[in-house]
Amino acid sequence: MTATQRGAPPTGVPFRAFRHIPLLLTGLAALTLCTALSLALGARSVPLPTVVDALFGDAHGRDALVVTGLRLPRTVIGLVVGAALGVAGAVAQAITRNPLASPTTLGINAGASFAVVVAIFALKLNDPVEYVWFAFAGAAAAALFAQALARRAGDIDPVRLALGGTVLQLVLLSWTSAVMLLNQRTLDEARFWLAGSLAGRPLDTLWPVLPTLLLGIVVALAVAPALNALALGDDSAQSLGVPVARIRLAGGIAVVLLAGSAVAVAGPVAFIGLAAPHLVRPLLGADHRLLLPGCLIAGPLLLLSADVLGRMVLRPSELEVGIVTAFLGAPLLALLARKVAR
Amino acid sequence: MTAETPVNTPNQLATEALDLRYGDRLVVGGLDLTLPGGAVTAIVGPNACGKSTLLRGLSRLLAPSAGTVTLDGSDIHRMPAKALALRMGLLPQQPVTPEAITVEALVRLGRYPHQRLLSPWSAADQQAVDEALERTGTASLRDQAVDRLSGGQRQRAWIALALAQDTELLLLDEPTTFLDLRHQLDVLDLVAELHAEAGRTVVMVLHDLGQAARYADHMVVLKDGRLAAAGAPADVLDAELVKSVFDVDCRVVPDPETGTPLVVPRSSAARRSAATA
Amino acid sequence: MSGVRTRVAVFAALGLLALFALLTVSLTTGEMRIPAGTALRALVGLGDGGDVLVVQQFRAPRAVAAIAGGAGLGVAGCVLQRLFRNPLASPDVMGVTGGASLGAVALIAAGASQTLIPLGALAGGLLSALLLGVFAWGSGLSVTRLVLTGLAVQAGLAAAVNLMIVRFPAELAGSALQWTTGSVYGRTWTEVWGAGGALLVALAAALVLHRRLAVLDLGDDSAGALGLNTATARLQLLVLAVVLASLAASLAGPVTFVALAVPHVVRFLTGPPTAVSLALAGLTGAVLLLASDLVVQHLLPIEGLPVGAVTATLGAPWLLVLMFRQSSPVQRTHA
Repeated sequence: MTATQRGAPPTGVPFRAFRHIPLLLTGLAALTLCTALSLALGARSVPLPTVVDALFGDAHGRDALVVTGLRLPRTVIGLVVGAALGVAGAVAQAITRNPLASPTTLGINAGASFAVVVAIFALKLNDPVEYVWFAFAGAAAAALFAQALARRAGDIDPVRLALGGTVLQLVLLSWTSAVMLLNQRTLDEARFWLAGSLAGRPLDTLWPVLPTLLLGIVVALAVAPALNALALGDDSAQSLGVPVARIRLAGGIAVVLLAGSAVAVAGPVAFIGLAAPHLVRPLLGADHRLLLPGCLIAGPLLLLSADVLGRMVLRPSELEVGIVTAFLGAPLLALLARKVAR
Repeated sequence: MTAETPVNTPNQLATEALDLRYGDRLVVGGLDLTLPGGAVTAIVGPNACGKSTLLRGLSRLLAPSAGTVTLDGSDIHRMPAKALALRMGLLPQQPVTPEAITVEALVRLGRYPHQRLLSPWSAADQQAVDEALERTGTASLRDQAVDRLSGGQRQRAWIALALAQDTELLLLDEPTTFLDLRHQLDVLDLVAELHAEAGRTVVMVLHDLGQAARYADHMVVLKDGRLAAAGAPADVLDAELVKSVFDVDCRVVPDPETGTPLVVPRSSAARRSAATA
Repeated sequence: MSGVRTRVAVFAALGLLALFALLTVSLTTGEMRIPAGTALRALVGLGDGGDVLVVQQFRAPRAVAAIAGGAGLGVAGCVLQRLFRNPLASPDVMGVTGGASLGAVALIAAGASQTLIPLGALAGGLLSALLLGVFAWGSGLSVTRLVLTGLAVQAGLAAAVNLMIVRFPAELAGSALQWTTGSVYGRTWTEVWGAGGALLVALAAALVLHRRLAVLDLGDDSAGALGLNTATARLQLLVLAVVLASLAASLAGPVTFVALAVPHVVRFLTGPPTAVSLALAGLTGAVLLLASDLVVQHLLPIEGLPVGAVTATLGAPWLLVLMFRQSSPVQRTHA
């Protein structure tokens, strides 16, 4: 008689990845399309056959040079950075158990920005390739500091993490502005990097952070099953035998490695880390063993589309991808607000 | 059903063809109910039968989608909010305790409906607060933080807030949840005392049928958002009703202490053989 | 309770003393040193004409702008954090910062005169709140939805400001960036009388409405049962916080840190929030901003640093230390 009061019983199938293969394939197809568009479109659009020829070294001339010299590095960097940000966002949301968390919450973008601006000011650097290590170091230092602030009894307190991270972010951002105002050259150099962009970076920018990126992905995927348990709450996870504190630490390190590498290459790009997990969850569910691979596809998909869009709206000039993602992210957050508050 | 309820006592809440909804979901439907003034009424029923929703409807927190709620004949949803708050207080099931607030500061908030925008804290306000603290035995705790109190003390502090509001009518939503037996009895004894001394009208949602029968003059039994029975506990509570509303085979015997009806579930073996029969 | 009362009294006395001392310092120091007595006399128009001009026309409006702006931000932060039951709520969350920045930066871009820029900031701040209202309406002003929508509005507006800074010629980008970091440099009496007077009214309104804020703290059911129309009260308090923050931003720029940090500092030091602690938040905000402005003017070797940078630098260690000393606000259940 009381059957109506109970929810649908769990069917008890543990892991049904194969069910989602068509969806993952569709995602990959969309990503391929996006990659093709990113190679073809821009201030000087190149027909797709020429793109293919250029990639295989069969075409020459200005079009081919544009594709191999400018668009290919840009697209590859977009794919890698997008993937890193997507996964980092999913892990950050899992370890803080907060759907609004993202690498930015940990102070990663603010730390990288400050370090780069100081480097530009003090060392007179002027090439994004030279910023990479400063950005990574700044991001890692800020994120580790934020997590150290939030540590309590060997574990990270999510409330302290949010408050401490926000305070740290505000301080770093105000310092960044202060340094930029110190001299005109710093302001002029830094403001473009601070907007977050994929343009003007040769593939050499990417190589130094490739090891940290790969390590970050491996750590993230390794803790994925434990992240599922974390979602049940610390107590339940603990009683399931999951070492909560250690998992949260590993997750935090994965976020630092991934998002730190991403910001080192592309500058601070907001919202990809926040949006990718929210896009994937309705499609693949909240199981992190699927969510993380999903974000691996959704992240670059979002970033490349934003980049292509940024190239198209102001032709022949272009909009930095960081600005495009922020503009697109705003309505997304508003939509999210409607969903959450229902 | 309502033949024997007194009709013209003051502080009488009544509903007429009341529908209450959350979104599209009908929780309470077509309810005609009279809650006698000057009495203690217990609202009982199985989980999710609409008890708490009904209490929210009776206290203006939830607007009816159809029908009316009246207090002494006037529609409460047409009364000014403060005017109603001068006549009716409510203790929600799980009240939100503001961070670090002291018992006295909490109880002082009960004076809100008595104050105008710019009126200062008056001697009458302070007197009402002191009395409420005294009555609930929380005077000695007045400077302590509410969130550091035990469950029973906290519940009494919240009742003190409702008392400081100084209303004739008091609605309580499961005031005994999360309390141990001793503290449950403390709270219910306090309610009985308030009723006996000051003649307050009390309407409370309760879980325990035996306690409801002991402490209430009038009982309202809900099932699936509809009225299953209403009347004096001795007249209403019998094995048939418990079986039809709660789906439990039981015997109803006189409480050896008070003589009020007491529900004793049958042994599991007896219930199983009854089910197969 | 008596312990708390003593602490509140000591805190208030020290705050007032600090405010008076800082005010005196700000009137006496500068390119031309004026002794304290002379400066205070010059403030009311007595003494040497040159002193009167410097004190009355240059130093006083700047100091008053810092005091009024800081007070407005401190109280706005207090109201928002309680309204949203969220320790991170600040005018940022409402999009007010972004709106004020966009309004000011747009006017800077249009080459408007210095005196018009505060008006642009005020208009921008109020406009962003309107935007928020339009998007978040229809849910009985649910807190979660307001916070998320506010973040969205803020993100969009901040992106627009960022876009302008990147697209501007370097010169303009500099002054835009300077403004968005916060500064009370070059405030005149016209601005200070206008915005400061309005701020005073809004601060008084905040103290009057405090009772409603306290009742709202009890949750919607209890507040409703006490006869408070929760949706109306929440709207009133929201509008008030937005007005406070926008006026403050028009005087001092969007100094984000004050509104975030001051409520925490006051709560850590004086205990549970009351009407008095609301006033103390105003006092603390005023002291913090005035002190930061003095540091900017006189203690730093470099000219022209934005006051916002100093506010954050001075305030952050305090806040972090307090955060550490405090036993965890959220007790973790597994011990």
